[in-house]
Formats: sequence, C-alpha cells, structure tokens
Amino acid sequence: MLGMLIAYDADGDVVATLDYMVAKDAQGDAVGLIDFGAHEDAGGELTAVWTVESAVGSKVWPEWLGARAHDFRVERDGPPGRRRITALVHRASGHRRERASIEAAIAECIRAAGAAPADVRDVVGGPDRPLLVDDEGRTIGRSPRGGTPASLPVATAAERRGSHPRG
Amino acid sequence: MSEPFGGPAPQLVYGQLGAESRTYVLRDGIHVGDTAGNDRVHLGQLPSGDYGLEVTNPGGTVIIDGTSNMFKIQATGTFSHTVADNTDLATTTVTLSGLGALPTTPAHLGYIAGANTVGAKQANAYAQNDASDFVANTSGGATNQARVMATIVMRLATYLNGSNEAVVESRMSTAGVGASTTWFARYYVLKEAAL
Repeated sequence: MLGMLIAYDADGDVVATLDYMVAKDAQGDAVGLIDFGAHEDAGGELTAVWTVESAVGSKVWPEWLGARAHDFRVERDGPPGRRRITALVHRASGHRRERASIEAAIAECIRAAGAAPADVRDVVGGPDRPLLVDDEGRTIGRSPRGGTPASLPVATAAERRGSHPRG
Repeated sequence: MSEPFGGPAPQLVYGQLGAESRTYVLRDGIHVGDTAGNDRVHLGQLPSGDYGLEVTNPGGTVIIDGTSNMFKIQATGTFSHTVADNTDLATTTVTLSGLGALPTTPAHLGYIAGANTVGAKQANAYAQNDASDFVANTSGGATNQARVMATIVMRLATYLNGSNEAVVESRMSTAGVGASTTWFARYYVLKEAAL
C-alpha cells in the first residue's frame, strides 16, 4: 500500500515527511514508486529508504498531508518490531486522525467500487495530491472554484499556430 | 518478443487504422498525421535508429525527440529545522538511501519558510535582517555605518555521502533572535532525463 513516510522526534512531533520516492532499475530508469507500506508490512527497515538526522524513527502513514503533517505529533502502538503510527494528533487543536478510521474508509471505497478499480484519492490524497487540511487538522474539500477564471478567453489551436479567423 | 496477453501475439495489418483515421501502423512504428497530411507523431523506431517518441509541430519543427532534457522528480518531502538563538552553521540532514548510489550530486529545488502555514511565503534561501544595525568602517572605529545585518540565515543543499547516497542538508545560523527558531523546508531531488 502506498503511503507517505513520517519521521518523528523523541516527543512524537513530526520533523520530516517523504511524499514519494521513484524506484529505478539498474540502468537508472524509473520503474515506479517505492511502496513504503509494503516494505513496512514485510518487516523491512525504513532506513533502507531514508534517514532523518533529527528523528528517532519513522513510519508509514496511509494519507498524504504534505507539509501540514508537521502540525501533528504521532501516536504509535503495536508489538515490538511491528509498531505502527495509529494516530496523528494535531498539536494545537487536539484533533485526531485515526489510522483505523482511514483504513476503514479505504476498505469501504474498495467495496463500493466492486470489481472496478477503486479511486481512494478523496480519502487519502495522493503522492502529488496531498489532502487539504485546515488549521485544526481536519480535511477540507477541494475548492470548486479552481481553474482559470471563466472571464478569460482561451486561444484556439488555430490561433496558436498563427491562423486568425476571418474578420 | 513475449506475448503480452497470455496467448498468441495478436497480428495487425500494416496501414491505416480505420477508413477515416489519421493513425497508421508502419514497420517503424505508429504514425499520426494531421489534416494537411503531415506526419506529426511517431512512436517507434525513430530516424536516429533509437526507439522513442517524436512529435513535430505544424511548421515541421521537431518539439519532442528524446534528446532534450528535462528535470524529473526522484523524491520529494519536507522537514523542519530547529536552532537555538546565537547558533552558527547548524545543520540537519535527510539521507535518501532509497535512491541508491548516484553517479553525481543530483540537482534539487528547495523552498524554506518561517512558518508551516498555507500563507507562509516559500523562499529559495532566507536571510532575515534587523534594518537598524550599524557597524564600524574600520577596526575600533565609530559604529556609524548602516548595514543590512542578518539575524537568521538558512539555505538548502544536496550532496553525496561516502556511500554516494543523496543527502539534503539544511544549514542555519541565528543571532539575536531572542528565542530558538524553527523553519520548514520542502525539497525536490531531481534527475535530468531526455524528453
């Protein structure tokens, strides 16, 4: 499962994030993205991916929060060797982002899609599409007012080639 | 060539894909023409002999030919850097061992900001100054020369460590801020690739 990496200090405060890392073959050509979650689930050490000097550890988180992850501290749980980040707690508001709730939402998305591929981006964001989070750590929707202002005309392909409509 | 769909390789007949299509399958690949009959897109074995994608504009100029370079993002992330007041050249690093051993130091793009908010200005490097500072023009002279003095200086850099792994480093100096300083950085480690 893809996800982002979060590094934390001794107090659990987030000190670094890694949104994605390209995997390359022996020739240096890109072959995809490293699956941080699969590596962690297989018992792999995340130091094989990165090392953050100011951190005491790092784990996978199933959402992409971009720089807003720094507003949180982590809570971890699990048996030795398989500890996971179970929640992100907003340092100002105390709002909690629970891993179990996120994973349940992903599962529901997959179930609802049936045999078709499930689009979970509204639940977790994506490697280059972090969730929008407000100042209290809650997800907010993407603005429907994005894009070029409707009042601006767009040149046609013919105009871009230098052809002009007859006057 | 292996069979892509688990059975005998599907056979295609060379030529036009459909009576009104401008897409053609030829020995050297797939060609797409425009309404003027010009060959605009070629996917396959190019005139150079190599394989790739070549796109030509209406004027006949090749605009994509696999020889121009662009930057592609290999890894991107963020980190914070906290430094006590009156500290000189404090560094913190992120080592991207997952990229493997690299032949040369990668290019990078980086932005730093003094706050982790949506409205925080993202700068390439930063020096925060106290505008009302004065220095002496000569050693022991009168401190009556106005100068721009920095209270916080921060920059990002990339380099290769002893294992040729990419390292992103933040370096910060502070003086007279009055408290510890935490700044935030976003980095993109890049790779040059042909387009």
